[in-house]
Amino acid sequence: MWFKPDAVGDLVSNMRATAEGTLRSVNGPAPYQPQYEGAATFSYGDEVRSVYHARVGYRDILLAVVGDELWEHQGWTRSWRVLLGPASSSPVLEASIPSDGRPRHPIQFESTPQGIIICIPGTRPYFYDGEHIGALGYDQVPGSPQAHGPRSTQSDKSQNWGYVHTGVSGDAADGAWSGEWDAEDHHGMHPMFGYCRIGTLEQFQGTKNTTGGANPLGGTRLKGTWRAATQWVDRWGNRSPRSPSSEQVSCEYVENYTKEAFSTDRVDALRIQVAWSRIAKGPGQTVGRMLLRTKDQLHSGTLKMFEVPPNAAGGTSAFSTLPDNITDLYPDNTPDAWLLVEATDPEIVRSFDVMALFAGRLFVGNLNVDGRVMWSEPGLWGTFDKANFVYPDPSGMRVTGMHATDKGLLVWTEDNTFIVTQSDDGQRFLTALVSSRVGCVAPRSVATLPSGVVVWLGHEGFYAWDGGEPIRISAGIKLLTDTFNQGHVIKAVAAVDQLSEEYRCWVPVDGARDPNLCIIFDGDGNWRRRDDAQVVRGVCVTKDHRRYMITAGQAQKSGSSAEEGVWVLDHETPGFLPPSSRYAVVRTGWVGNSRSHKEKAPIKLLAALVETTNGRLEADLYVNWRLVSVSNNLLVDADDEEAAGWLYTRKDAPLFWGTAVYDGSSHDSQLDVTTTHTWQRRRPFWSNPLDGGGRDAETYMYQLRHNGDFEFDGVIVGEVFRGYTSTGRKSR
Amino acid sequence: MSWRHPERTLKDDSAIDAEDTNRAFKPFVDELSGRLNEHNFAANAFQDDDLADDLAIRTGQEGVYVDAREGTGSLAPGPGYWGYDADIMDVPTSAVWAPVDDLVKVIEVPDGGAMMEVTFSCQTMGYSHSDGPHMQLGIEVDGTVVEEIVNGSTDISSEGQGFWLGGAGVLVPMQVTAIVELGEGTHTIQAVVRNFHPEQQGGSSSTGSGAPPLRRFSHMGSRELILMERAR
Repeated sequence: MWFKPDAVGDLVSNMRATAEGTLRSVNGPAPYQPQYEGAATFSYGDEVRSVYHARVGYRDILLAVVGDELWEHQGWTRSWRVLLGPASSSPVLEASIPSDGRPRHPIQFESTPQGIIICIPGTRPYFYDGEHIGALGYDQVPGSPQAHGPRSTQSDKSQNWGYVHTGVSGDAADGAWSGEWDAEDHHGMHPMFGYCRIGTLEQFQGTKNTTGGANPLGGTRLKGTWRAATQWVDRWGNRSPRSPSSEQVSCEYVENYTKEAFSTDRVDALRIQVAWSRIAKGPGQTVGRMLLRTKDQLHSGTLKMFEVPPNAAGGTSAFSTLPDNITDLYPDNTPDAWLLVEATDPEIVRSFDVMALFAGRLFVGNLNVDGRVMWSEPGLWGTFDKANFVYPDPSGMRVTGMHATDKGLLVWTEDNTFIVTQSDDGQRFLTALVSSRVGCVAPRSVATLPSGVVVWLGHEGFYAWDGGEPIRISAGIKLLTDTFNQGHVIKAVAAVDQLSEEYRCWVPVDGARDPNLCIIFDGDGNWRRRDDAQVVRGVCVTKDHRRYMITAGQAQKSGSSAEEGVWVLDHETPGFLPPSSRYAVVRTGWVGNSRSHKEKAPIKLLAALVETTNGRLEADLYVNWRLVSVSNNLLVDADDEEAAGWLYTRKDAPLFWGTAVYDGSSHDSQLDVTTTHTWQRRRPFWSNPLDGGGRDAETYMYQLRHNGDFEFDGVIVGEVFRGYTSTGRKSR
Repeated sequence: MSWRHPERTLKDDSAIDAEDTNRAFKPFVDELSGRLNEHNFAANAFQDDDLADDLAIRTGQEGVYVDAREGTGSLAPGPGYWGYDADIMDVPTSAVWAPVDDLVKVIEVPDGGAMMEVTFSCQTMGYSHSDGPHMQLGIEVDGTVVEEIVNGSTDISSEGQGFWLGGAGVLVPMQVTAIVELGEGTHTIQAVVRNFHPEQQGGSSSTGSGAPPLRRFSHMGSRELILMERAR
């Protein structure tokens, strides 16, 4: 009976799939920041709770959450700087990061072309671009600006040329440019600014105006009103909510339009300009203010707000009306015709639990407490229009996970799965139910395999989705999934290894509060496990050529206690060797279980291995469904040259590190043959047969294990049939 | 050396395998191939004391600094002229490359050779806008000028206009850069220059009463030779 590596069923532990299709014992982990000889010892000093790597532009950024602080790694200086944390940690930005250990959504990161979004459940989200860190978007509303306009009591005078606001009173003045201040500290506008631009003009319809005078030029200015609002802009382009509208500014009806009164025969002279003061200054990373204004509310036909451009032509660098966070007065001579871009009306950014990037937008779930999902404006990860939301679950269940796929955005509650897709016109998002019985219980357990299949952890175990109905894939390891600590399983974290293409999910088992066992799915229906890292609270894969899988939590060096840190899986550094003692284990599964009513006797096992080291395997035999070995270590004395279990073939021993001589040779004294040492590939071989003992068994199972480097390629078991048939006792 | 995380460290009694060994060295090869990232370098990572251990770029420099505005406030066109700075170099008309004073570097290249970026930059100085410098700059490696990178034209009509500084002189900055590959051994890197202007034959003209005669040569003021080698 032949068992290949992808078919050994009962248990594969601390083994990793190789590119050649074998299983090899895992190695490492290594501290991300290695302890080199002579260097100062570094201690994290608190629980390392999460880790994230991103490439922003050409920069690599490694973030870790340690206790109640967010750290950024500082490269070769072998240090971390505190980006977020309490004042006592001297952070770049003071913030409160919950660290009470209660089961809650894990901290989540998403990388965008501009920087990293940091979602900390229980507090507000942040954004870090590699240089600046700040709150994501705005969680407060600006105050409204104050309006200033021409004095309506003097409506018979020119409202135009020579009319200006002063910095002294913030009020409007009129009078021709004289170069002098008038008695009210008003100063006429310089002629070089030309005519004012605001106001609705109309052709005079009669021959006499209302006051009986003539209007030989035929122009009138209609009564008009305008309102404005303020909006902050941060350094990443996010917009704050609009302020409430200002009071209105107005101008009166003017029909006495004569050249004598206005010093010109241009009807433009009837127009006015206005001013807005007390423009609120923004918090944090605010770099500009957008002034929003209505068109003439009485005549334009719309009461909507529009963005006031900073100058006549806009321009590529015009990101806001006021490109600063200092000034509070804006003389506004922008005509209604220049108000082209309708103002956005974002909502304040609340705290959320889950997020995902999809269709160029940031989707967030569980704003405050309800199960609402909102999406940001494209490319503006902290700007959420008030209208852009949906409740995927009409019953209002909280969102427990989000994950972008090529088919849409998967959104989970505990018991349901939904998919959000973009409408054909790209302007709306549609929600559809994928499953009403499968949900997700751990938001960070979701990952996409290279095949495109999405895997996640639900109430009943692991599920896979490929566009149809979610399928439970972990039925074969139900006894294991039943040991998950459901109270803390929300902390489970997962990632896909780039080399082995395995899905790895760390879950808390056997009552643990933090994830302490890695469950591995190879994408072909096979499950393995590993416990080389004692605690894994966070995991990520570096987005550079190294493709490291990095974990946050605890690992242990042999002879030491487990220590907190940031770890690189499947890699080694000399300062952290040997790692904690652990066996790489392969079990065959119960042989002959479907014919267990017929007794049989296991007599031998042949193991196909790949030579790895000058050592020996250990092997155990279990019978009759009991996981108590009836024969520990089937192998005999290690000094027996012919005994089975050697991790290389004794007939063709490889060169061993430490004894082989570079450019040397070896001499076989019996054959009198000298062989030159050359580089070779490690070869596969068949071990000598292991003796199964021939005991009677309904079913039996072999276990191979080794505490060290061990590469497995398959086994063949041999047995003697003890059962009786109608023709007598047979053996085979 | 930066941080490295080999997949498997080489341990005694491990079966020697070409592939395992290659993977153990891969982080080092990646690094030597320039696949450096934020975690290998950081701002202020290099301190003077660390350079011997953590060397990545080796540099060499030779230079002369001349402040043409010192003293008289007027550019000095030649030796003997008032305000003349002794570090100013005459560049007489000649089709032969002349070594630039003080801009020579002798280097030792170890096994494996070196690839080096050599930059020669200078301020050329002429007498007036019409008698401006008409120079060619070059870099000579072991006595041979690297022809491909010679900078400056022999067409006098296209040069020498503008760049006034001071009352009488013309300053024109020029630069030439070469990437040279050097074998093991000793090598001499020399900055060279030549001047094609037909009227700059060493003649003289009056500078007014009491002043020494002018020689209408071109000159070279501040100049620098920079060598940059990527090394391990």
